[in-house]
Amino acid sequence: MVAALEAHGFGKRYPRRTWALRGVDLAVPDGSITALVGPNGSGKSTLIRSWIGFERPTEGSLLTGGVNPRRDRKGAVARVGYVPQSPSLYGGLTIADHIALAVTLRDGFDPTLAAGYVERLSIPLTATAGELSGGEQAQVGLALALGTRARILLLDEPLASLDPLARREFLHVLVEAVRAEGHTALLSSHVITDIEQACDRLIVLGKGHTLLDLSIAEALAHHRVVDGSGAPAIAAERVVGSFPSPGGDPLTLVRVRPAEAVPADGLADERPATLEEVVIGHMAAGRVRRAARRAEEAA
Amino acid sequence: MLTATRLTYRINLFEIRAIGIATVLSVVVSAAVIGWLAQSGYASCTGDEFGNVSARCHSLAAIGDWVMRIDRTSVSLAAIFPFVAGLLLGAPLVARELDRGTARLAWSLSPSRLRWYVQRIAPMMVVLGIAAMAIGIVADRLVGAMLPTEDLANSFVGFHGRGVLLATSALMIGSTAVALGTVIGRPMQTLLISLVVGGLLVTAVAEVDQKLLMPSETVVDASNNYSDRNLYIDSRFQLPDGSLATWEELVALDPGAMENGTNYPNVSLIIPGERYRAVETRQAVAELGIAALMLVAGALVVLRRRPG
Repeated sequence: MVAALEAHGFGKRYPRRTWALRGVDLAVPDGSITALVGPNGSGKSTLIRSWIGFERPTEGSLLTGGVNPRRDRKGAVARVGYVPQSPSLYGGLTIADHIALAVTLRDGFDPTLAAGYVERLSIPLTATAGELSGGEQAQVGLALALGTRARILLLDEPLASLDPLARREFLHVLVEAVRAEGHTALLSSHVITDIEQACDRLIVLGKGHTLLDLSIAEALAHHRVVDGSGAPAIAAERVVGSFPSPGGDPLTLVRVRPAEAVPADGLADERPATLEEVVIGHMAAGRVRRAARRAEEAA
Repeated sequence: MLTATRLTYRINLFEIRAIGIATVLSVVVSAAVIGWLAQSGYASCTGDEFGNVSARCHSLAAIGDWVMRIDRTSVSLAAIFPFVAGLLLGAPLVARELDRGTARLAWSLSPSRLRWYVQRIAPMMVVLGIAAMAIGIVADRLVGAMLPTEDLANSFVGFHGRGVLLATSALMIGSTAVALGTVIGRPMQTLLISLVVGGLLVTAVAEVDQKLLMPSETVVDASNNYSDRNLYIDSRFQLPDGSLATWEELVALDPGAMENGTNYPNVSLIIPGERYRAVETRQAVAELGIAALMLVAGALVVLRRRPG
């Protein structure tokens, strides 16, 4: 597997704070659309910002398209198109101005491509950024990132403030562009249904470390859900974590080997897990492990 | 570069407009004042030994007093222009982009942050320099209109408040605000701190010049007649052997001077007006040097800092 983005023992600690991330080892395969999921404060943004050279690792190293952003930030930025959670456009500039600005800032920026994406969504190029809705601003941010023709796209929770239709349109443009050009995209998001539609790989970050790193298909094939939190008949090593259903009933996420349709110790009420349950189960497990570690440290 | 300049002006439209309008208004009003004073000759109107003014001057007084008042006010306002323009154009330039997150967008698009920095700084410094130079020239002419007999090229009248020093002070304050903005990343805080630091720098340039370089140019004015034409540095007492002493030194040499007063002549230490251009040029170069250093410091911070 050729990796577009790599982290090797990566750790980041902000001054006078605890570690935001520590010991992160992961690789985002070239040509994939990978979802980066995790609870608030799990270090998703820190990791993404570090790949573009906006943050410096406290320990370990990163590679962005084979370039270490700490040693060669210019090289890393040149390989990346970045869409932050808030697109932070210039309120007084028109969209055409933003595209012109990008041309002045980046050699090889494709204004026709960027303008094409904007116009496809019926966003007038003559409108100022201040006149656009949050969804439209996010689309412009994505169009600017795509206009860079960078091989790697880093998207830091761009869907967070968008309504469902805007999210769908955003993902449609993203997936189409990435598939057409053979790019790599890393999409940080909380919205699991969107991830399931758009992404082919899933990375779940706990508070500061990796909890899961699988393809979406593997993530679904390797997990099942059992009603009830106790599930005493299931071997302990198969239990990932317990969490409540939307109705409040306890559920347990368990691992299965992909070849097993029903595991040897499987229960009658086991059923396939949804991607959301996989993510939540691993997050819940991460929380339990963290609490146990804290208790251990306190003791 | 033209597109980048146009966009920089659009991004900072409010500040550019404010300074542009202030400059144009100032030039227009000043031109009217200077024109009227030159045409009427009112600035030369002075009374005779009994305070009587000529009938012509008397007839002009109603307008003339107002025009002179506008002239004096304009000259006073010109002296603060470097602060107003420097802070307004410099403080938000980088700080606001960091605060609003637009720097993050720009830095993610541009592999070279230096390119972005130059695109922002260069056009604004040109505007600041041109506006402040225009005000400096206007202030020069306004002072000249008030004092038609004064040779301003050889006079310290209105020192620091006219001519090229207004432009270089504005550039120094503006650059300081830019550099502080790269560190602070908040426009209002940057503006307030730059006001203090800019004031200190303007004072420091004059003080350092006075302490280090001016002593070699200082002459003793035995007439002790204070004149705005010369730059007053200090006063001393002249001892019988011709040497100079401060009051403290004099009291140490002659304790009786404290109680009985002194018959030692009091002399002034001055820089003669003829040295005006040399001193002005020296301080202007110093201010431009500091401005350049500040912009380099700002660039170094931009290259290293997080985008906020």
